[in-house]
Amino acid sequence: MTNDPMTTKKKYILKPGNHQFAPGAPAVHHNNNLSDEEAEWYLERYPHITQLFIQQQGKEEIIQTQETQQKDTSDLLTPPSGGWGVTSVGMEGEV
Amino acid sequence: MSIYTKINNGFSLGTDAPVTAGIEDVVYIFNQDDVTLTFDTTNPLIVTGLTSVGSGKIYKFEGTSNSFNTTSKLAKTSVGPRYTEEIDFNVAGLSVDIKTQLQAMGYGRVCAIAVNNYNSSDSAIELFGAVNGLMLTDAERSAADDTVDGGYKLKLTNPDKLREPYPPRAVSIAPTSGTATYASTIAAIEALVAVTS
Repeated sequence: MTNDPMTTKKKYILKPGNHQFAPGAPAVHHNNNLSDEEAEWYLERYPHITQLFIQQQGKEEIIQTQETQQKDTSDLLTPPSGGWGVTSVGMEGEV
Repeated sequence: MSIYTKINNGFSLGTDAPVTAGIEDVVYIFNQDDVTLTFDTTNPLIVTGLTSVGSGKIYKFEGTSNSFNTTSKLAKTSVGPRYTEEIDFNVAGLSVDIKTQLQAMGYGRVCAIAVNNYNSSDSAIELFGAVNGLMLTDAERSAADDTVDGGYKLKLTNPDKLREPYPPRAVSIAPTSGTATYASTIAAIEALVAVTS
């Protein structure tokens, strides 16, 4: 879903599912019917819904962490190749 | 809409995981206003996420001896099926705090999550009162009652004139990556129990 070019252009990406933004409300909010402007409006009034959005920066961190873990595993199994090391050191610094 | 009006699958009796009775001796209860729900995009019977509002949390009521029970029963109406829900549980104690919680449950609307003993299923963990909430309708304490030794016998049911439009929802919450399992769902619920308010 996050690879969808239509969604990756958006600033605010909802996690999969139909979400309630207010307790007891109908679960009608999903990524395909929520614009960035609407998202900002709801986020301002219902701050708890930040947990329902995919954190863009966090997503990058997760990918980086996974790559770092792959690198760590490969270090245990095979001799380090220079390419992996250079890339992952930079990523670790950012994380 | 068709998923509500046409069956699309049958049932085969399997021997790998025979169905078993009862629920575990725990019921998770939260104020309806404290948690928002996320539903599966294609099936409203599946709750895929619980999100606390502010410092909202889930409270855990523990019992023993297989003494908790849940009931859901279809009620035919002129506008389609509705479901009545009941959760019978008990509190093996007597204190002001317990009375305070019972008083609150008698006024406010709560939702409850029960864990079936039969957990080889995608409906092992069920949410009751998802739409209209539940209220405490029975809270009986007979000091000399030796079945619960002076504890409280409690019942949560739908508020008057309000029934649920769906059967109890299955709660199925995935971990950060991967698919939802029994363990990941319990972990997600317990994480909300651990929230410090």
